[in-house]
Amino acid sequence: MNDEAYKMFESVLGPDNVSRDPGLLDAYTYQWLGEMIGEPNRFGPFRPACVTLPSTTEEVQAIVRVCNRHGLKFKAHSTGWGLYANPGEEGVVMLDLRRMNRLIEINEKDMYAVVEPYVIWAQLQAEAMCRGLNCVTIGAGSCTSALANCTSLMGTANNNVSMGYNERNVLGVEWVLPDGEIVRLGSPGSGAGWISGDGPGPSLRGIMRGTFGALGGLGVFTKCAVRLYQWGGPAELPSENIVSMDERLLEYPENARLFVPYFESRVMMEEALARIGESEVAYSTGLLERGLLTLGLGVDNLNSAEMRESLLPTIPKNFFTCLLVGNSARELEYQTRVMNQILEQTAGRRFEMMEQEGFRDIITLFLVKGGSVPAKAVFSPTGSFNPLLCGFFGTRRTLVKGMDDAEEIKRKYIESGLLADDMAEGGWSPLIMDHGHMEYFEHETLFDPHVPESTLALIMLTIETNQSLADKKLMIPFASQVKVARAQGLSVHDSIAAHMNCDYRTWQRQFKQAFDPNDAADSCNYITPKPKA
Amino acid sequence: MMEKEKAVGVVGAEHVLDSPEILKRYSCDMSFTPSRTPSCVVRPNSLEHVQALIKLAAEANTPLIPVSSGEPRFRGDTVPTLGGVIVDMSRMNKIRMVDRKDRVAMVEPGVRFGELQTALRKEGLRLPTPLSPRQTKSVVGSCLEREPHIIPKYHLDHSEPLLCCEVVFGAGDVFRTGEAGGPGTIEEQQQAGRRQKIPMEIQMNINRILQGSQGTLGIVTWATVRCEVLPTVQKPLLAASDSLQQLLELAHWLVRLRLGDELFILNDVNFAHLMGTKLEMVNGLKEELPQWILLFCLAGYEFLPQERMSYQEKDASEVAKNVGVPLYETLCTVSANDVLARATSPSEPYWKLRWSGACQDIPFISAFHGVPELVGVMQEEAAKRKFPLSHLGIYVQPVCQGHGQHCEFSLFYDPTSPREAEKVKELYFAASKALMDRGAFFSRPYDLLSEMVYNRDAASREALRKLKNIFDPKNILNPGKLCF
Ligand SMILES: Cc1cc2nc3c(=O)[nH]c(=O)nc-3n(C[C@H](O)[C@H](O)[C@H](O)COP(=O)(O)OP(=O)(O)OC[C@H]3O[C@@H](n4cnc5c(N)ncnc54)[C@H](O)[C@@H]3O)c2cc1C
Repeated sequence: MNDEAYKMFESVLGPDNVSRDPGLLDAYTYQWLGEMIGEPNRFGPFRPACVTLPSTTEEVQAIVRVCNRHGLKFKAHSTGWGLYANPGEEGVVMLDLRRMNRLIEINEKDMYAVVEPYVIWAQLQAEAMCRGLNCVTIGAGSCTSALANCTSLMGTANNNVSMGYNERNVLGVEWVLPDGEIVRLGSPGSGAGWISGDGPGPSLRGIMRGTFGALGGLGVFTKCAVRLYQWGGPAELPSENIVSMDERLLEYPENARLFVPYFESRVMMEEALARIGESEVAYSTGLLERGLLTLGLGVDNLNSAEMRESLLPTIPKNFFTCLLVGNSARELEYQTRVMNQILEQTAGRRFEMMEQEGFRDIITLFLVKGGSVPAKAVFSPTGSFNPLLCGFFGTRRTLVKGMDDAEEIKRKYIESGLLADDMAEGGWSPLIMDHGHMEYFEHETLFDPHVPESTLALIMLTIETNQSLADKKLMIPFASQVKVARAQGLSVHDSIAAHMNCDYRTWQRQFKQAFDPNDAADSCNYITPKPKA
Repeated sequence: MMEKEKAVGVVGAEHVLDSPEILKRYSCDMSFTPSRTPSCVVRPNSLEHVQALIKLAAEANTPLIPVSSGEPRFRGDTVPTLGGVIVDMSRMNKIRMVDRKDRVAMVEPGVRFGELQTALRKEGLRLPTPLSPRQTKSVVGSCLEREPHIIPKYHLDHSEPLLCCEVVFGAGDVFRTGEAGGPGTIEEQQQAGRRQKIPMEIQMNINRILQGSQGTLGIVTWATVRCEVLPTVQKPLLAASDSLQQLLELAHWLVRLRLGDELFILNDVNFAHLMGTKLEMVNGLKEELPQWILLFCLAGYEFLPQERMSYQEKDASEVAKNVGVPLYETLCTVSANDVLARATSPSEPYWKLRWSGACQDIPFISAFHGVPELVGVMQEEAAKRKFPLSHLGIYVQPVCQGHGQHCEFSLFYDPTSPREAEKVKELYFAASKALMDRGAFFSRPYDLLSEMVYNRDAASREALRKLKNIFDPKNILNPGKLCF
């Protein structure tokens, strides 16, 4: 890369905090699902120009300014867990934000924490819980960046039902724009603390993100206030045999109760969920369909296969998990009675095996903490997975359609033998958010990344499900569409906009042009300033 | 300037008004914003009308000032700064959809709270509403202003309860926000079972940009709003104290533990103005009441309503006991039921004008610990200018499920006395500045305060100007407002 720019990085950060060692750079090309969009391996096609390790907002700003001056692209990387944090083209300067790991403030009365990019959910949750508070730790697991999730990515989690989707769980934000200017959204911009991210006047949160964030395409977020909520459970949840199916809580929280109901049909299941939503009794809800659940339970595939054989016949099809957490014994009692009433009305039955000690503890932990076992379950059997319908938000009458659709289409791909046999029942999701006002579903698909035909089958399946949703006028899941669009060399938004009743690209593209005049932020997952030829 | 005939060509002669009496009504409001007479008032009745008007305005470089609510208006945001044409949206007053299952309604900008609540109640729904809004207040207008409502647990975000909307930008394009943008037309979406509830686009959230924009970026032609289940039983309760801190503490725990639905705090003056039915009663209440009053309302819905009330009441009583505040069903002869009824219904005459003739509000957002201090700042500033505290109304509303407090000071005064009005104007500026200096966040800067607010946040001003340039490049929509 340009030596002058490199020297400037060194002078800003010190030589220890910048590198262009090829071995080290290659690590930043590593990406989950890289095989879907490039070579059949995990190392993406583009090696970054260099890696920088800023530790303050001013250093981030200085790096971004140097990039603008020298015509370099840059990209932020917080915990780097997903598909999006690696470079989208040659010559990108990475900002690895691991030194920005401070949990700056926890405000108990206003219930928020101010975090830097490398503060992970687990850290935030541990601090919150001992203050009787909790955060929306996402399904990706507690090891991921809270800031990256809230400002730049998604926010789906089992406890979305009671605490909302993370798009709405940010207050004030500090943001280094792509041209190096710093803007503080909401109250921090006026020197009035972190209490709000909206205003004065129109809210710039509107350009920051939607159901998804800009995925690095619109600058670098350096601090944000994340909302916390009441937690009625204990200050800690100590357990033993961590990261195994034998994980056990040392003590089950006295104000919590797990329900695992199952139903005759998906329609009845959704009806029960709608009622649970309206009655506002659930703390956390989760779907883990039996096909997915039983694929990776064991320590290895042989063990998993044995467990699957013995377990599968005992597992009903339409079940979900629902954790109640009362702030008092009386509240828990009330919640329990309501759940029983709803199950009676919807002919729901209790899947008792899952409610008993063995499974109960691990499911509870999963529902509260965003556990790590499901991640193991989806990665270990074949080496990788991809969620179909990733980004499928629905409401009362559409969730079941999306679920049925995915199952039906997937079945024929399973029959081809190229994808793991989950009986086309690979759903994972929080199901309902905001006490039933929104619904969410995705369908995990395990494939073999070393077998190109398997990857191709996955791509074809994703294309077919997305097309089917679009034909039915249902939401096109963005995160699934990104991968297939990039696999086909298309711009993701071009492939979605054709189905819409107004061309949202016009506005998004103008944001990009206005806030990134030199096209410095790597926007391979956002939007390019000019339409692709 | 847009020619009248052209506007007539769009909406018909009977909907282009330019009699002096009518123009006068739109030339000023109850705020201190300097008056300016518009050239005419047009009353569109469809998306196509709005599109055509924006096109004409762009061609003729004519300011358009969108207005949805009826009089009396308060914030200067609809007083034309540079003259131009008022686009009065009140003819578009249809409730297009109410859906019980999805807890949502779709309304046009002319729909007011009263009508919508009546329609919702029939379906077993309700819309969380700002504290006793004036009868003429538009639901869409209120949403676009980010006005807080009085049920903190349903105030999921400052954007609540707005979900999706249809808007014509100043640039002329029609846009539908959130999931309303597709796939498919609205009709096709509805056939597929969708109800325009998901408020975000994929990587942007245009609603958030429109909210707080005071008609400067686009004109909204319908919106969907998040509704909630109508309670089957309710029990409102009152708490009172001379210590604001104590009631804030109570409010914090009730909101945090989600005990109760409606919840707000008023000072004695506001409480008396809201609840008084005769002047003697207002004055009597001011004398008798403790300084601060909190209302909260327990509720049961469809599932085991009595049981819900019972556990909520016991838990709330424990919280109140811990904070050291007794709970009442009646306070100084005013029953909690009456307070709830008044707070949740539109008022006519508007309670803020009923006893004093005029009122200047100072709304802002504060952190929990800042509220008592900021109340002190306001009282000090009032005392400095000999403004009687008996005319200072104070409203504290926990927002965003307890993540912040909306505070609103109301300066009640007699508009027929120029001296009093001048004093209030001075106080309004001085107090706003002092409040900002001490950490109050003016998230919705109106009229003459805008400059003061944006001078504190030049970066946001720059960013917003970029947005203005995108959505309204010719600056035809409500020019002169905010930082535009
Ligand atoms: C197996 C798996 C499961 C997942 N499940 C979920 C889930 O259930 N729910 C959910 O919400 N998400 C999920 N994700 C997505 C994602 O990992 C998380 O949302 C996570 O919180 C973000 O952390 P990350 O490590 O992916 O961030 P990174 O990879 O560091 O960043 C993600 C994106 O944001 C950008 N970015 C990061 N930091 C900044 C910054 N400071 N400023 C500007 N841009 C920045 C990056 O450039 C990148 O495009 C999952 C991912 C995987 C791999």
